[in-house]
Amino acid sequence: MFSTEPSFVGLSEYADNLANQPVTESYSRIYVEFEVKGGERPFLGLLDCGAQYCVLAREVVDEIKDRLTEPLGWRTFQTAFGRARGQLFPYEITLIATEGEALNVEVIAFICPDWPGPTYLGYTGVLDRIQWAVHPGVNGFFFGPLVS
Amino acid sequence: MPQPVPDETAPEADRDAPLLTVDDDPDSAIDKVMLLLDEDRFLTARQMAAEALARFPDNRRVRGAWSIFDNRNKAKVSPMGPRPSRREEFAWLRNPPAWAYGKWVALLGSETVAVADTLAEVLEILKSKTLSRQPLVHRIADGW
Repeated sequence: MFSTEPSFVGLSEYADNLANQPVTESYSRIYVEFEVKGGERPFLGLLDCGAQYCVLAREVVDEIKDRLTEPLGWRTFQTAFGRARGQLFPYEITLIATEGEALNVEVIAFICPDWPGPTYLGYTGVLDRIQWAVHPGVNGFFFGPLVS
Repeated sequence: MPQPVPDETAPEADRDAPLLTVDDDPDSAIDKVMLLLDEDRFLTARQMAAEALARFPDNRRVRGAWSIFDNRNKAKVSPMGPRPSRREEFAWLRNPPAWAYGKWVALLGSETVAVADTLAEVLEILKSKTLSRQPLVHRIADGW
């Protein structure tokens, strides 16, 4: 059928139309459930293929800061919340499945002490490391490891 | 430890990309990579990181800089197993009560099992509770 077929291992239901979301078109957001290593509890992350890295909410960072290893470098970029300056770190998150298998992903986390927004799961450093697809008919988020 | 190897199938960077000079050391190479990223020149930064890795393959920081671009073999199946649907929690989050705005909440189904101004407080409250499964923790924004 296709020259390349996707291979997913897990499926979770994503949240949309949540109340009072950032910036404009507030209801056009997809949130998926995930855990950060050492974070104790599952959170929701905003899926955004127009963003970069795993941008962690400030208070989530407070929970894991003792586990961060050597930073990879400083980054400054413009965001929907204004200019953000922070450091990149390798970190592990787990995408939680309601069917199939959960997936551990080594992501690039952007840690900005002044970050005012929610947690973003961006393209570079997160979504470009997995296979994924959404099925809006059932609010389904499919995911699997990247295979070449 | 296996050596990281740049992906040769990756797209090429800008033709006018500044290359590393003979004077560059690992630190200056990484500085240049990060500057290129700040300028949104992703492919050029990637090419420079690959050059730096080829020149300084044993340097820990250079290997770290290359890891920003290397998306291969980063995901593995977790032993965690599937968890119950969050449909009820999501329904609650779509129409939270007025008191919840600006708060961190922990939800199990449509039940609020913890609520506080900070995430740390919510996690502390949860430590004292015996719950049938993991609650979902989220902040209800009160404006951005």
